[in-house]
Amino acid sequence: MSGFRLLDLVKLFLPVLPEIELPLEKVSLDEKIIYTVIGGLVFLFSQLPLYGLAGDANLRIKDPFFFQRSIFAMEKGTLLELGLLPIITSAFLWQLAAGTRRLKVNLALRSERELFQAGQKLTGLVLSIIYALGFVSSGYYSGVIRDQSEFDNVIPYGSLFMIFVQIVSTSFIISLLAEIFDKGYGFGSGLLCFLALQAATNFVKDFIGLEVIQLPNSNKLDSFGSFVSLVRSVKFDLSKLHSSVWNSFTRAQLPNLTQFYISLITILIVIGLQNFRIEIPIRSTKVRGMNNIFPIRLLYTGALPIVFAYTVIANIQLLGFFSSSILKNYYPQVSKLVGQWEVNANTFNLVATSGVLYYLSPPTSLFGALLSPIKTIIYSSFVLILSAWFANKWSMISGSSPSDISKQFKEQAISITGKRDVSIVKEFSRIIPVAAVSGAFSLAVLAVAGDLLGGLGKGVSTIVGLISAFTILEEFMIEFQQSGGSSQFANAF
Amino acid sequence: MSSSAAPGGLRSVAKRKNAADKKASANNSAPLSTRSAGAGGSSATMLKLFTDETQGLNLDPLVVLFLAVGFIFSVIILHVFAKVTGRFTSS
Repeated sequence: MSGFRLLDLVKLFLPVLPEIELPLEKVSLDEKIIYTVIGGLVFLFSQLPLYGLAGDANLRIKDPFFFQRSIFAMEKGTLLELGLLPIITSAFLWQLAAGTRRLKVNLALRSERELFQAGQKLTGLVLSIIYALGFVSSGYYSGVIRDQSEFDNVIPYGSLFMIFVQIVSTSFIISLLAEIFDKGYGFGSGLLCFLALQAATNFVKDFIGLEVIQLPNSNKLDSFGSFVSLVRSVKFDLSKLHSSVWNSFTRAQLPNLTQFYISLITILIVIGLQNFRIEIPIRSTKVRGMNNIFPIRLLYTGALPIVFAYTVIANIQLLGFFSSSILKNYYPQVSKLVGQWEVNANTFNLVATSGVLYYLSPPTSLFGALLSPIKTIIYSSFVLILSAWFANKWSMISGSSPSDISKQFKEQAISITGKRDVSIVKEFSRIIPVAAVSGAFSLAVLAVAGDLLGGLGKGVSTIVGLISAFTILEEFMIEFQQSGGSSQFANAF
Repeated sequence: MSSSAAPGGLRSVAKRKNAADKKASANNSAPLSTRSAGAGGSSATMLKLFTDETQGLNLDPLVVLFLAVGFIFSVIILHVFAKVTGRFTSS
């Protein structure tokens, strides 16, 4: 390996990057539960409003990313402004680059793996710095800085700097928290745990959130939760009943019941899809009569293809918005080509109205989807193609490819019933890529359908959260059964 | 079966060499992911980033948890200070 490698650049930063120690001995089930719960709590606590913004900032920020917030836990006006996006992006970047051999790295060597991992962390940090700079410099926070009105001409450098520091350090702390999970102190992977946690808490909050909020641009108060709002607005006045019910299904400022039902139907379909699998009969090559089955799921790659497709879209949206706001002063034409936004007076959302980014943003309602068919088609096919492509690639590179499985089979002296050892790979490569791609495709159809009906990303975050939760639950159950009832928690319940 | 070619010979040497090359390249090819290298990491359904320990600055997980909680509390305290001073100065 000659010449310059990207990994050598990482080597410079290796001594200063903080790093979680691997556990010295096996972490017990109880400890894992505690670490998982505390890690999750810290994550939820970081949905704290940013210091330096006005009190009602999260209602008044003109938000161009409203449709992808719930997917990546990007909470408006809080420390988690970037959510998990930088970390997820860097993980996909590095692992796909290694898997497709764009990156020269020999993962069989420990030293190379260390560099690879440090590279992922560093990229996450750099991305969060870039995005945080984009947020503070693009005028995203203009008008919501504390003690400053929209019409002041002074740029509040101090406040913006504080916001920048807060966003970047939160992003870094979240990546360290995720590392605690990944290193085996918690269940599953940190990212999936956080995604599941976010989806679950949002689902409940959107339905029965008790908070009462002053709606932007109006003098009305409304409850945050869609169900609570419905109950509150139902008066025993039949003439107004249907308008209040209609309102709680269609209100755009706060979560509405349509989104709730989209999430609910999504949950049911995902649980159904989760159970589809092909069972391959296997037998031991050493012991006669040891027969079993090896299941291959339809959702072979879980929710990752969906996460990947939306990660790509989210990154394009963020970079596009920032570059468009920078280019606006120098090359207005180019900036218009990238994207133009319009403030929706009801919701304070910035809705893309033209440019490239317009075609990569979901419609806000079914009506909107029907009104602009070209955009709907481009957006849907973008998601579908990306997730199918990713599922195919990922099933080959993620260490559960047909050849990897057949290697495991050989080590454990297992073979498919009625097949010779040699043809195991062939048999698996007949099934696995098909299962992965069709599973990812059906999930993508579900996600896009939710988006087109006006789910604003809620459907997607439900899919991702639910499947992540299943994955984590699986690992938990395996651990639980292996611990053999030595857990204090299990005895307490 | 009366084949004219003698057993062994050039052709089967070439065949054997091809088979051996193929096997060697299959064995030597670098793994595509940390999991197929046998070191944990992302699986088919799970996206993991950090599974190896490097020689960098090693921290205990508890330290990180405390740091995270400390960071969040410092932001809360900033908020409280802002509220308090705001009350005294502007009202």
